Amino acid sequence: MRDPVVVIGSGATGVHFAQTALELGRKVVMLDVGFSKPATALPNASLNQLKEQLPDPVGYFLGEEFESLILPDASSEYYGFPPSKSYVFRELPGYDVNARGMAPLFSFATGGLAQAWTGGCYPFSAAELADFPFGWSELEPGYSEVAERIGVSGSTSDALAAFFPAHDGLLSPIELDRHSRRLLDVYRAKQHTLSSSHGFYMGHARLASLSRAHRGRKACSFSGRCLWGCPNQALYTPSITLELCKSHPNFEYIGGARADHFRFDAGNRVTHVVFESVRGGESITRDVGTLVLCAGTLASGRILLESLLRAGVQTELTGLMDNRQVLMPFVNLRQVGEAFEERSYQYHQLAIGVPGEQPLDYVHGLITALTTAMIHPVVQTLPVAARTALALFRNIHAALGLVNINFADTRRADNRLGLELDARGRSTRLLVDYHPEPHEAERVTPMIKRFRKFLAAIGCLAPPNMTRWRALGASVHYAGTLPMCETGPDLTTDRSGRCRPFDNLLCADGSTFPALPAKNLTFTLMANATRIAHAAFG
Amino acid sequence: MTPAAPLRAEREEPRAQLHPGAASLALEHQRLARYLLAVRVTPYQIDKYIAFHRTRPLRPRSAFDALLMALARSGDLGLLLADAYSGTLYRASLLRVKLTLTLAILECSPPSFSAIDAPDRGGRLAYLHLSWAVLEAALVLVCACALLAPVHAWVTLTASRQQSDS
Repeated sequence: MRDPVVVIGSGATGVHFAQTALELGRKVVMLDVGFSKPATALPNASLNQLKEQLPDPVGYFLGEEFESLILPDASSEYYGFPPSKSYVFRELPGYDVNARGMAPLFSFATGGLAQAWTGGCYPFSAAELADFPFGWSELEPGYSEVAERIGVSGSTSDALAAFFPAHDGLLSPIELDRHSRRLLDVYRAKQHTLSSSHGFYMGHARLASLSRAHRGRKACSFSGRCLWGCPNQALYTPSITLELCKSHPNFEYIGGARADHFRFDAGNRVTHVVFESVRGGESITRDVGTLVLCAGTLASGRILLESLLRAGVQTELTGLMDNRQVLMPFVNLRQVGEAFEERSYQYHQLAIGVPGEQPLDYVHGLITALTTAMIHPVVQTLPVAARTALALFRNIHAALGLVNINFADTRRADNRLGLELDARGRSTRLLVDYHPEPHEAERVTPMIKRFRKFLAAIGCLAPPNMTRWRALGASVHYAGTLPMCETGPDLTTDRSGRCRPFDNLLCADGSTFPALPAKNLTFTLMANATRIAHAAFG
Repeated sequence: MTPAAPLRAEREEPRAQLHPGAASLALEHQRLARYLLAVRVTPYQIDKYIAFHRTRPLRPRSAFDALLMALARSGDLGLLLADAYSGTLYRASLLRVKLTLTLAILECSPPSFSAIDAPDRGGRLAYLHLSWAVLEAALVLVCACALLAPVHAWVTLTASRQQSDS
């Protein structure tokens, strides 16, 4: 693989691929649209101090146009998207998508979609990697290397150890808030019974949040500002690694650039990448030694399809996957009447593992104790008068929690990416077509009931009418359109991420995953991108 | 409920705004905040309430929705009954939108956010307090249903007849 190494995208996979390539002595060019993050407001203030000290706190928390206000609507989420992270999902004019069956999210921000992630770092087990053309021993170094870079905290000695393999670089767990600690204590007191009768295992979450200072970043200060953006970088986001790459002399960052397609010769060698300036719309061509697609499953797929179309090949990519998620709010009856803790970490601190007969039957749960999230989205869902709902809420605020239940997905031929064409055969929109498996309800509904029973067993009430299936696309865990396999046809990838039939085209994002377990996949994306970079240049 | 700031008998004059209806919106926000949390609102919070209506003018969705708003504006008892009915049986009401907006502003800004953070009673008394709140709410809902359900049915029927006639 030759220089220059041109990486498309600055998300979780792009930055770790780039960093590894730089460390191995390569010259890296990164093309990125790169909408940038706003400056952090009052970085030393806690959440309540922000409310007191900001000149316009309503603008900060609800948006200048109240775009983060959640008004009464049966289908609304339990939390609004904060304005300070609106740059992550800022639309790119002219980037049109026709999505059927799901509502996909795209990011053109520096750092990509993971700028808004919740930090879960759950390595895939050996069994979950069964469909991949490599095993745990080949991926573990990637997990260890990334963990050392970004700082991952968690436990290797609790009930979840069997589901989350150990790797190097793990810091001690983040200090639990009172609610999470109580949940874990209750579970541990009855662990044997709960695990044997319910088949549920609970323990510390694995998080890309620092429990102590690490590589120049400070430990979590429990300011409660997680949802609005960690003010001191204790929670890892890919923009941190991007800044490190930018300090390297062999790294060239080209922002404001949307990669449109690449050109290749008769020998299937990629020769150039063509990108457009988002400011002026002009097309720019750049030589390529090695091209690396890290724009995310949907955007990378579009670039590939556009490239083939321009070479006279109209095709589609099948096997698109997405994790179904179900949100289950609950009330911890032991916490009712407790005072709200201002000093807190707002993302999930506990996880639940529910094994099944097969590795992909494993269901993954994330438990978040409600602390500093906006309350009006939750209050207005209660089927009572607003004043009553608020009075109830104030007394159960410290008792509220949410389980995010994640389900695995598999590749199916009717889930695909394609290009819609105009009368002249030019592409106009990306077509995303996704359908859940026909018997999904038979898998999901009984599991929801099991979660409810388990929560009841640890003293938590989960009202059935408040459990919500999130719309497909909301997980932002897209994968599977260029699956890795030892041998395979064109438009699959080999174990080193090389996209067949091209010699010098690598794909390092979720496109390459042949299966999608229930665990959050971002950590595995980063580890795999690092592994691919080592395979290419090591 | 423990108010965040003591209520005064005299009304505070709302800030004059250049938005038509600004004065009535200011009074409306004050009433809703007092109703929800027994707090007084600040000029900043009033400005934000008015600003929302400037960007997203709100209108009743139906004749019954308009009637519910009129009941809410008639006085404290009317607001109580309208909130109870809409909270359970007419959840897409304009009143609920305004109450949610008021709550969102109160939770984001001082000094009212601290009133939302504190429980009324700690420990086991919390369950007694919650039980009383639920019982009180149920009684109000029964009264609201007795008053409003027939009206709701009649207004809905009249509207559908008019629609089919036209």
